[in-house]
Amino acid sequence: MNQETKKIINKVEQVTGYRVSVGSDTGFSGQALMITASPQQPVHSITVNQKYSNIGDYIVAMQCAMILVKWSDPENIPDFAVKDNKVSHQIDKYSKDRKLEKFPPDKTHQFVKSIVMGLMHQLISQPVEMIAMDICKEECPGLKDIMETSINNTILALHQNLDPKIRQITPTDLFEKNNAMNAALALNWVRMSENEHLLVPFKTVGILDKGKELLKIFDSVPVSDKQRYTKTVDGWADKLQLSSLYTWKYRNA
Amino acid sequence: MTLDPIKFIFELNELPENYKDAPQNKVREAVTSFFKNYFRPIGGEVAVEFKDDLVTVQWFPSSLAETEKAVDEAVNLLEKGKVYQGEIILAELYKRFPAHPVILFNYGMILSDKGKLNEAIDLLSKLIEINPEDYRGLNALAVAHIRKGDREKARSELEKSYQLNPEDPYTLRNLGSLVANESPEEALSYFEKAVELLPDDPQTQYGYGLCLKELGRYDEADPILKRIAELSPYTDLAERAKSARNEIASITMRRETGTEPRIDAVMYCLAALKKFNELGNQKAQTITYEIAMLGRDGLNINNPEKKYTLKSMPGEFTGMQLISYMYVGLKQMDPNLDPGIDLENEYKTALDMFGKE
Repeated sequence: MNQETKKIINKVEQVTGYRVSVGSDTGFSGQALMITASPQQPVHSITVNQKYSNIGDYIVAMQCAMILVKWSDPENIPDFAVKDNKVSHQIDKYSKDRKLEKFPPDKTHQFVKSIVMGLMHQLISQPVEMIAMDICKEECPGLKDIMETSINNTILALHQNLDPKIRQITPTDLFEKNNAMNAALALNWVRMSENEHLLVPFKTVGILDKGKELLKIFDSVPVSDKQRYTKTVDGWADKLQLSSLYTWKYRNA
Repeated sequence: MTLDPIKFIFELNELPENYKDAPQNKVREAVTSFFKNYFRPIGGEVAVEFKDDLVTVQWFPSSLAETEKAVDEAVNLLEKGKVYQGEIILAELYKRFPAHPVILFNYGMILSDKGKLNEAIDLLSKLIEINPEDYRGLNALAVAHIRKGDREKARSELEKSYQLNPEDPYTLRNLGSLVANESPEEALSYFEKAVELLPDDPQTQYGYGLCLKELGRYDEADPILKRIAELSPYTDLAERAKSARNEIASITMRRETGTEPRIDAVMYCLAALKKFNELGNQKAQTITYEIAMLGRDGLNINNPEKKYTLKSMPGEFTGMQLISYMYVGLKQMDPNLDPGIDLENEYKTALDMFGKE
């Protein structure tokens, strides 16, 4: 394991008072699974997807940075809770979208559910990822190369979400919200790197300006604000009209 | 800094309104010209393809006409783990230069890694037709056959490769892996040579360590398998090496007591049963979870000097003590769970004693 990754793991252990356990596995999507520690599960567990083992050190560092973001105020650790009844209502609403008329009703519901839940996951994960990117850049400069590999790979995968085949079967509103958040992530990376050309696909399909609006909200919360994460999520949710679908629950370390 | 290539697809009707009524050829010209102008300042090559209403835009860091430079860039991306980016370049290069050996080799290997085995075998076979003495190509072809389950063809290709270059470490490694199940002794002879040539290659070290384990040379196998986690963290290989080390630890543990229960483990299991009974299910689960997580990095069960601490339970514990607690905790949650170590006799004996107390 890279020394800087070990260093950020130590930092998490010191700040939170819980050990970090790192392993790897397959059979799940995304780069990693993370369970933050609680009195009932007194270890932070990070499981790296073996598909991404070549950038594993960065993935672990990023997960640690995300823990640090969430533990900015150890007396008020935020847990995101989806309001099931409100989300169900949204799923029912979008299931009636004209683009989905040709789908069998049972499949439509399942499909829309996966998109809406994906959107909620994106809402809580992308702001924290963006803050964690800054932390990693600062705390782990030696991981610069694999950080670039990881984020470039992520953004190239996000370009695939703009594919017309996906657009044709996704309710317009959901398509735009999903890709606006993706564009915000890409914009944030482009100003950290010099990879401006990664924005071309977002610009081509007219989604870049929506990403810029979200980036503006991200930038409006001061870096020193202990609630930077929750305030950014709330700001994005307001903009994307998702505020009624979740609530925060706070716990003590 | 070299920029990564990109590829994306969009529909013509996603263009701004003022394009909608323009004649199709004019729209295509305008779109192509837009992207060419856009990318001109950063160089490279733009490819814009139209199929019905779909537009595929690709940008490559070098002009593909400068074939060798583009191939080098693709290989460089693959080495950095940017497989998708490398694949974009190689796929386009292959369309234009379908008989270029380096393209066939690298693109064939990507297809093989992605599980597109028939296509991989086609490309790599074509490479061998062009250059029958390409032992690296034969090796890659053999790997594709192994992945497809055709061990005979794989062996035949590997033997050809071995005849061409008996010192190629990858051929030695792959031959070793191929015969390891049936004949660990024969495999060992290949691995012994391969580890000298590839001392830091995790697959070679793993194959070598596993052969030593199969041959009962546990003391030699364990440090080799331990090194895999350092050489290749976050991989399936590292997890398999951990499992192999756990097996070695279990075998070593049993060497002294044979089939008889280990008294220390019985006492630890009994202590765990008492402790969990006193603390209740939820606390027992918390302790079990913490030990299981700690155990992901490996607990030394054969060294009573090594001590561990937990957040959920005060005190210092040996590896065997923690494993016994974890075993009991998991069995109490679900008797069918596999805790990854065999303490069944010890657990049953402890349960009998606990019932009698």
